[in-house]
Amino acid sequence: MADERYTTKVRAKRIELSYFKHAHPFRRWKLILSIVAPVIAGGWLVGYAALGSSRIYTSGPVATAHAMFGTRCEACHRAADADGKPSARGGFFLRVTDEACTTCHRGPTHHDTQTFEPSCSTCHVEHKGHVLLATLDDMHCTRCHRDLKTSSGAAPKFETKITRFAGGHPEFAVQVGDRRVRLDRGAEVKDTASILLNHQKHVKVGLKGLDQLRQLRGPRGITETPHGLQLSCGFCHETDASRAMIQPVSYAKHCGPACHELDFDGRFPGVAAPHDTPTIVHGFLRTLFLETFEACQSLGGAAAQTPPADTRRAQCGELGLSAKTEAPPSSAPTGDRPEGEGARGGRLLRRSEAEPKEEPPADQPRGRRLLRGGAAEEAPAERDGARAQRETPGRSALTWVSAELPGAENVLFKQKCQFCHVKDAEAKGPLPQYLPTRIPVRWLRHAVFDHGVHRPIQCVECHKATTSTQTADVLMPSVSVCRECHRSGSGARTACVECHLYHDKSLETDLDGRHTIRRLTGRSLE
Amino acid sequence: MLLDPSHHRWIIATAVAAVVATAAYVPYAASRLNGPSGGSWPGLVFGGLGFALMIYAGLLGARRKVPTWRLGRATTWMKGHLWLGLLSYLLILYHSGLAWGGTLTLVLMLLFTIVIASGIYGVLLQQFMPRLMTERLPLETVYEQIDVIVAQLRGEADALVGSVVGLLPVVDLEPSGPAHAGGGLAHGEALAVHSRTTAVAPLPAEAEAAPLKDAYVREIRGYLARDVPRNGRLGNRRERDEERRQLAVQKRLHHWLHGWLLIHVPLSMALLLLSAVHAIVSLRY
Repeated sequence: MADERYTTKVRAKRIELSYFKHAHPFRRWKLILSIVAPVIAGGWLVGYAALGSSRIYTSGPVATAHAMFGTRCEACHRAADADGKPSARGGFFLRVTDEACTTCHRGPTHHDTQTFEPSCSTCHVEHKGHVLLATLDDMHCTRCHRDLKTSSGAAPKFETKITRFAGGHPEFAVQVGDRRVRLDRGAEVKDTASILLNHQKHVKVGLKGLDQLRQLRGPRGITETPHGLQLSCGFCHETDASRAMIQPVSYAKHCGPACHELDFDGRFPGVAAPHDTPTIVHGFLRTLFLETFEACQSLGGAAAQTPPADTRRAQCGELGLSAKTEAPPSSAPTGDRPEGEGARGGRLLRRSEAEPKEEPPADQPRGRRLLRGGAAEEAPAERDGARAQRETPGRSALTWVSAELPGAENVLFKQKCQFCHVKDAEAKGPLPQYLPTRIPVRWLRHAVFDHGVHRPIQCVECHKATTSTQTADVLMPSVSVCRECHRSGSGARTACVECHLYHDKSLETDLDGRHTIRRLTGRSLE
Repeated sequence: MLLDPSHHRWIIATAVAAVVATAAYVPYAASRLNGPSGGSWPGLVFGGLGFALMIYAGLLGARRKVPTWRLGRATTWMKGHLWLGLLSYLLILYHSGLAWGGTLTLVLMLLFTIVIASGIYGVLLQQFMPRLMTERLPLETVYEQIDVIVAQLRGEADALVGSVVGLLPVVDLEPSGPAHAGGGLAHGEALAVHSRTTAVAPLPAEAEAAPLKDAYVREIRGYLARDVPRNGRLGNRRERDEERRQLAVQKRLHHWLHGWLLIHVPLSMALLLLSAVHAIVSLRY
């Protein structure tokens, strides 16, 4: 029980009136810490300044591509003149000018007729961390493309109202000849390439000849299905090294081997004409026949009993060139020839000597061929006289070649070449001419597409090759196909920069720039 | 500071300012191509206003150094410190575009967050702890004088017990009595009311007094000299014990009530210094 007389007034006598003048530990510590904390903070700044580092002042890490400038503000931040160009003179404000960027990046103009040209830093904002500086928000693009105008006042060549990919983006426009045509304009969308191609037939399951092709080229690009082998799209449409773009189809790599060989005469087993212009092919055939004639004429003597000579002799017999020596039976099997022998026409052979000769499948689209002995499957009437002539001993080489050439060229030009190529009807001259294929290398020239990142998806999901029978079919997917995956919210990204580039990269700064390592890093090389 | 109705106008003004700032920030952040940035004009305005309010809030300490200057009422300064300081945090957040930025700005935001959080913590404690102390500690005294009064209490207890059991072992009283500038008790001086109210028994024989002397020296005297155990229980044997206990509790509550200032004030100083450096460097680059 407290003493009632022990009042506050009584207790107040215990208190010194000047107590506040003495440093109490609490107040003393508050004062000490209030001094120490700013001193530590200042020391932190001074320490970095003493080390010559200004990294603590950055508003964020620079992009990965600029990592070497991360601690050297002056590499980009320079005193600028009134016109914005970097100046060597000092100044308090150190802005980043376009010239600081164009030291390394040319930054080509987007379009010649664009209404204004933004500064580099308008779109490419640094100090945002290790992000790609080219990863921009759509607003950078739509500020112009939502209502596109040109500096000349002329109507833009492109869609004028684009606000976003999901909805506002127009249908894709492909390059048809010299103009761009949207995929939704059905009749106008035609592949104008001068080539005869049936995609459907090529991807048919059980296409004959795939067994031989697989033996020759390996399993890559040939799929094994329950119903047989199937040529996959990737057999012909290979990606480049970056796996982004599709490389042009090559005859030598994709069409010729085991499928569309340019053989022309059964009496020249393994000999194929070059996949070249008719003039070259003509020269090839003429040279081949001449050399064969001379080789047959020179047979005999010491080489008469050797196996190569026997093979040659058999071939000469088939060709009706056995005038000087007696030809061995013409039915000598070619398989008996020793490996690597010159029965194939010596240097004129286009295929490797070590390459096994594959008998083409019966339904292979090779056109009509000459059979052994020079007989054609359906020999035209005009060739009867020529055969009689070449079977006559003692004729000259030119006479014999002139008799042989039309048959071989007939097979090659009319059947082999025209099986895929379109003959130029207006061309004049002794040899036929064929139109350039003009197969488009890029359909969507205003966009980039990375096939590599889309590789989990079947090709035919986007390119309807299984139903295409005409060359004129354009197998490019509609924008709606892309939107199946590229959706706002839950889908793949839909930003403009996913497909479009602002600067023409082909005009980018060349190699051999202006910087030195010492200048870039601020260090000397030991 | 108790958040009483006198704060209503400050609260409303702060809320309105916050709404206006938010209304300005949202369209700015949504329309800006590269997102909000402290270096943009709106960002600089947010940063400038926020920094100005931070400086104002920091001037409270300076204002207290000159209480006699006619610079407005201390309570008004305190309310401004409280509400405008809170508003400055929102403005600085908008200045930063809700991003941490680089090292310095990250440190700044961490310091600012700690300062604001400790301030809010202090305000919350102010809402109930003073009332709690008033209710539970009727013998509350000036915090800075607690140690002095405890020494006085022990001296009085020594004198009281010594008058009954004879001479006590001599120990130094702590703290030693300061030079007087008025008030307080001299070293070893007892408060008059205790002398009057304490009934001094006849001096017992030494043998009889020994247990009392021993118990006081070993148990009670020690409590009077040292801090009270954390459970605060000394037993209500004597009035001095109760006063001593209350002073010990007051000391501990005081540490809770004002201890946050050891974080709030020093970090505020560091924050202002670094903010000034940040402003200069950022404007340059």
